[in-house]
Amino acid sequence: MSNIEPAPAPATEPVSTYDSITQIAPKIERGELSPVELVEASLSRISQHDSGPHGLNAFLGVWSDQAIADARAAEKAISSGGYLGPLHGIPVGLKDLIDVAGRETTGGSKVLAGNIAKSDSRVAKKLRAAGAILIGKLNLVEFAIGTTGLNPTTGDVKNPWDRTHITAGSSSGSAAAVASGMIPAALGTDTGGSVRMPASLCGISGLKPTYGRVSRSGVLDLSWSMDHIGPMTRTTADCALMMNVLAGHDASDPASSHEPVPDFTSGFTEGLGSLKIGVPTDYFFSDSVDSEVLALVRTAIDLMSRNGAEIVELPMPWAEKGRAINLGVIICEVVAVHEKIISEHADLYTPAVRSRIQSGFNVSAIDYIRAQRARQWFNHHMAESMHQVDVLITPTVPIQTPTIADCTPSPGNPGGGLELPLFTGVFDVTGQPSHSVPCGFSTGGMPIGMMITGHPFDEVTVLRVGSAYETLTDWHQRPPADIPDVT
Amino acid sequence: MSDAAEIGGFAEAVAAAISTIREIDTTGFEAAAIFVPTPSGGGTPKIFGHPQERVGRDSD
Repeated sequence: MSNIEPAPAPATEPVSTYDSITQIAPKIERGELSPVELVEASLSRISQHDSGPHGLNAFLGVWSDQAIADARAAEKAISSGGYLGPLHGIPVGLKDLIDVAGRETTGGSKVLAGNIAKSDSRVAKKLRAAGAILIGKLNLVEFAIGTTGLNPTTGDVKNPWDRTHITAGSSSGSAAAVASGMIPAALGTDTGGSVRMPASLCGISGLKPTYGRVSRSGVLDLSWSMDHIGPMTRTTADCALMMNVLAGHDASDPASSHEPVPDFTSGFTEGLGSLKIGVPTDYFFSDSVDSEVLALVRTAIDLMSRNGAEIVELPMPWAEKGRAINLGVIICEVVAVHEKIISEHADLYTPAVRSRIQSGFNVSAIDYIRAQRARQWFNHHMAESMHQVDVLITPTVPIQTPTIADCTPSPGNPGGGLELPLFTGVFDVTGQPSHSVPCGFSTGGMPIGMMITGHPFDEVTVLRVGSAYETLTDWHQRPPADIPDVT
Repeated sequence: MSDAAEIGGFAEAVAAAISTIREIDTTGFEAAAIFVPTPSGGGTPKIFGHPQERVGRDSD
């Protein structure tokens, strides 16, 4: 962690740092909780748990003075009757691919050291307009090119549930900051699963919206045809509240959708009744998936079945091609994005990320076109299967959480974790909305996630299922044992 | 460690992905994308790294 201003004294009023936005916002609206106290509690929490040899290393920069000033302004506005909505006064962190005016956007790389954004990204602008307090930038895999969450330049992010384990990535800091109660909400980006994988491994909610639903303007590219920006929060309901602010057309993003924007909380009162939940009979539930992961997700499906959902088994043998298509497109686009800069500043990249980019140099243009054609083929099959159901339920990742040591490259060992995006990458190919929620814990005490995936632009149903599941369980309410609540 | 050693793992994954893609029969799905002109005012494509916006180090 670096670039952190001194934290103020802890808040005088007790603030539960594991409260959700849904719990906090009414207190702020009624004047029972000051945004200043809330921000001070977050800053204190960050100071306590993020730095030092045992710190989580979630933040790259914390804007204490500005955050407190913004919180004071929010408090004044709210007390004058100017409440803007559920995000007013809520501290939010941003993955360091996302521009905030006057602040450094490094992508977690030495390559962009000193790169100060002249203006806000669209998402930062929307958060500010909703009254959110932008509290700092969050750690990530260098340029988001990787899935484990490890970054030799900025330091590895540690999993709040066991600091010897990875968070997954690339939105590693976003997940760790929310899971440890430092902040109630963060933004991540997802191109192969980088919102949902760390959400799963850290025991929080993470939504990858439909491609084009949230503007990418002012956010560094990884792979432009698959880059998504999404919220990472404690609960599904909080993801919906974030989406109510983030979604909408933006002419400055060529891929931005004109689809009408719904109230993303609008399905919450409907429960699971009448919904058809598709459960793939292969790939996502094959014998190669960790047995504890399979058991927990199947238990969750059984629970939803007993509470009104109709379960539809779906053969999806073609789904095993999804991650290959995902990686085939990413590697070509990432080379196109980095080609000029890596030719001039190769020494500034970490060896692992430099080599990942270089591995795409020999992929031909025709292979890129083949990958895009395969994507059309894949989307056709997915649409045919989705026609039979409202959502799909699958594990988020096929393995249990690896240790940092297991994933750290060493001579002759490229490092583990390559299996992490096998499931999530499928839905970056199709652009469908896809959401990870906690569905239990391994025998080793690490969170396990379940992925809910819906029809394009039907985040409402995806979030409805996630919310309904969370009303039936308490997995999402359990904090990491060694990072207790302050109340 | 050397880049070559690192490339060993990821480059193999990329090669396997390309091989898998080549095996897919995409007959009927040839039109991956069609360029359609749009009216002006749709924004300027973003330049990676925003070099035109670099104004100095973050002083916070």
